Amino acid sequence: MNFPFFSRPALGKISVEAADGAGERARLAVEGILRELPDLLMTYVAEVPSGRVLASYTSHRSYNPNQVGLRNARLLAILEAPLAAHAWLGGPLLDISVVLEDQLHHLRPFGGGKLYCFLAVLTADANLGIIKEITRRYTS
Amino acid sequence: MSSPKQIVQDILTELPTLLVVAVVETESGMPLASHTNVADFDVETAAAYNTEVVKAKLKAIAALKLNQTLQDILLTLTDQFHLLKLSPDGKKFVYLAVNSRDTNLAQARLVMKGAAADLA
Repeated sequence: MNFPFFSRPALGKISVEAADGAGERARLAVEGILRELPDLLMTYVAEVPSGRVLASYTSHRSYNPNQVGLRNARLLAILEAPLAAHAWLGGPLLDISVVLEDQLHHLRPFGGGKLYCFLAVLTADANLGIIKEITRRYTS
Repeated sequence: MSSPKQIVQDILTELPTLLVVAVVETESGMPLASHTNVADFDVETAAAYNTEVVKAKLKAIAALKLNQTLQDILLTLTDQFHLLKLSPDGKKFVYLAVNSRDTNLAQARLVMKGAAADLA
């Protein structure tokens, strides 16, 4: 039996886990983002709410999309609650950016909220404006 | 080091058109001080949801076993920015919501950076 959570992705190459239309769309997004940001740490497209990774690329063993796909899908689910309850002003949510010490993580829902794209880069290699724009371009 | 009330006041002085600002205790999810320019806005409920966002992202970072400290979370809505900035010890965070037509992301981040540095 295959447990995605435990599987290690191939380093330095695009992995596509779904052969359907969603998998193809995910592959195109990952390919496009990688072309624009070849030094990225990790990017993947996953389903919401399952967190199943459809296509991914990682450059380092520590960045395993299968280990974080579900957690980030849960983060999106948490964000849906206050928007639905109007506990926050405005909406809908376009994207989430997370600033770490020397990294930027970016998460953008698309495909009618059924998919999301995640991107991690070093701040030395890209800035917030660039990653927001590139992720938007390949997920719109 | 400034009090939560002073931090809220300082941010309000810098960004008078803001929608909401609050200093929130991460453990309880309760605001220690807050201000809103929007009538009937429930700051306590928003703070509670924001705390769950912070905790969910901390878990995602922990899952990757990254030796990294979470600094900011920026939520972009169609016409607003919502920013969550953690204190250096992670026990509190500042929550700021602004209209994107009034305040750009760089301005909001700069103001938050100064405020959170005073938050111990």
